[in-house]
Amino acid sequence: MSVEPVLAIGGVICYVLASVVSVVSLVKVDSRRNQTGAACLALGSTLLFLVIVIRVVNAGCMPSFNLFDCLAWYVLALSAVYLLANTRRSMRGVAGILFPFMAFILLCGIMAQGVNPGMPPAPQGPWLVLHVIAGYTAYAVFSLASLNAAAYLIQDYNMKKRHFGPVWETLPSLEILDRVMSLLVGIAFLLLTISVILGCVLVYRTGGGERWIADPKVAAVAAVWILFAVLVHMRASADRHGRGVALLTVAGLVVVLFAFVGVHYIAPSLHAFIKVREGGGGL
Amino acid sequence: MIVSVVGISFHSAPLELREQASLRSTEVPMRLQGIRAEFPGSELVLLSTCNRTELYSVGIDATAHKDRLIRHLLRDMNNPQAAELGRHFYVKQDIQAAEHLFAVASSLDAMVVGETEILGQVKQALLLAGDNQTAGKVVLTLFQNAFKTAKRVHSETDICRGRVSVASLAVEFAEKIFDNLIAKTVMIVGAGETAELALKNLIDRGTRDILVLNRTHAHGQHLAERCGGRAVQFDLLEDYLAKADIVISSTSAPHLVIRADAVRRAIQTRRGRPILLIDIAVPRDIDPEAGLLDNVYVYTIDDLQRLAADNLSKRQEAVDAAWRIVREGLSGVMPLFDGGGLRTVLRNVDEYGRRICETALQKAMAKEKLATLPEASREEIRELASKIVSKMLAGPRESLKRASRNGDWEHYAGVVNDLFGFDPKEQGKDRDDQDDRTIS
Repeated sequence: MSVEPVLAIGGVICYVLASVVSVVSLVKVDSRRNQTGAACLALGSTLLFLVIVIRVVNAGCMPSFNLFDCLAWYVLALSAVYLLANTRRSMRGVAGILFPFMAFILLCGIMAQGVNPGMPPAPQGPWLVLHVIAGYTAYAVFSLASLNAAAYLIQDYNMKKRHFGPVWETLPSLEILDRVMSLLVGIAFLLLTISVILGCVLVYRTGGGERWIADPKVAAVAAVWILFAVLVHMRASADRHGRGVALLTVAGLVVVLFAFVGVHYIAPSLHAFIKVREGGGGL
Repeated sequence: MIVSVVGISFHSAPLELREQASLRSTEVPMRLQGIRAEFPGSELVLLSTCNRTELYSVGIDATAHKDRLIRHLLRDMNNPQAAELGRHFYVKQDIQAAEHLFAVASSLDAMVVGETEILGQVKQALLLAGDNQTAGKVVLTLFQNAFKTAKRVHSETDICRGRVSVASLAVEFAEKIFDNLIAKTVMIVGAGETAELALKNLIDRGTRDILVLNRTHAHGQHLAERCGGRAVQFDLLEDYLAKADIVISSTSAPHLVIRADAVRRAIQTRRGRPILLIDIAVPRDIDPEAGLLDNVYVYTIDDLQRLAADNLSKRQEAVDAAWRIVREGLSGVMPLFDGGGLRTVLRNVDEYGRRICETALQKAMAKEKLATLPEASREEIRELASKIVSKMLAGPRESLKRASRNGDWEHYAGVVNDLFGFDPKEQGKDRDDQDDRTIS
């Protein structure tokens, strides 16, 4: 048995452990448990990162050959963005929502296609690598904004219903959640725009623009881009805040996940890095 | 050595009596010097807060000199009621005194369990004693251990979790909605006492922009001047509602003062930015319907009182755990009280073993078989016997040391005295001799 699957499964187990600990520390305030959750997350991220590094070395290109690879990139980007955001603002409590989400995503990846690498795609140039990385990071940043929005809605519910328990105590203030949400949506919009521009450059260089425009993945990403643009406008120009914007941001997560993974289930796409497994029923 | 505390607190006396023993920080140095002059060589720390006045001393038998010490703790040292007041003062010595200090510093002895201000006040008292050269080595050891324990109690238990006064809970709600209270606008409607206290708490957290609305404009102006805010005409309430992030209402109006429609218009102007409305008035000032609007959070006096009660009960639940930490912390200072006794008992135990060993050896060596052995062999037997006795006593010695650290000393000392037939009075005498040496 090669070392990659062991590392990958170990990484996923760490994420599952981190999510259990973070949920427990959310419903029962305990800073020490919080640190244990962060340690599990760090270990899980390291193991997944090692898997990616090994696959880069083996394939000589960016490993996004199967669903697990793509989701590992996405979860790693999400973890990195969370850790970065946490250094600037206390995101205490958000971990209780984020970590289970990441563990769920990884488990879905394993169950759908396992952890073994698939066949390497066509040779990748630097534009493609940048296009994919910008796209994944944009999805990750927006996902964190959505989970932040979910935390906002939970805190709003607690305050309205007068549930002054440990979750109310642990989650940050509504204003912090609103600000972080606003910042993350802005960054996600910027990254997705960069990714789209890089995609356009790639299409221009490789030709066959009509084929790409008809690609369902492109249509789904266009919908995501419009959603991000609307949210950025609501924040920056219309100066909208509060529950309504948080609800829209949470709903946006569904659109993002559909554009990222779901669209591949519906129709074949030229974005072949996520392939539906032949005869396997899954991706 | 004797460590003692003599003091008066809210437990032992009502406010009107405590007032007579309340000292300003400027008076403390003079009192410390006065006591030091009367009891040369003593170590002293004087703690005076609104809830207690206590003198911690080392080297003074506070039970014997209670009246003399109390005189120094009274605002008026020649108070004719000193004897009457004396009944309300308590005296604790040695480990009880240390336990009291630890409980005070950890806020277990506070009027509201878990209020952390007391720790700062105890630290201040020690600093003042240091400045006046009345804090010696023993006092420093005691207080430093008390601070360490208090820190553990605060960080490892829920004793300080949540606010427990209605006025301060306005801050707790505000902090769950807003990130930074400095940039927030607070509107006070009416000038009730609780509202003013809540405002004071918000000002302490940095709030600077304050609007005061009162039906009697002059009253509003008066409050605005006191808190550094602006008085606004009561009629303009709805116009200013959209500008306020936090509204505290406490009018005596028999009808609603802030209607849901006004709040709806305000929240539209605020573009979804949340607004916190705290209604301390009875009957209510704020339309309960306003609480149903998005981004509007309305709390009444009942909500505040319920949260205060919840927080207080959480603190009470943590009290047992806190006392466990205090007992663990006390083990660090136990040698200060039991050192003399422990040393004497250990010495007696060693002496007992040595005596048995020597007696047995003398008897054995007197017998013919051993008497004819060469001197080197006899020496080896002596060493062997000595080692056996040492090994046998090693376990009990360790147990005694552990008991001394864990606060079980009295019990263990009694058992050892019974088992070996030691005289406890001798140990007490030894300890007093040692105390005298320490003081001199």
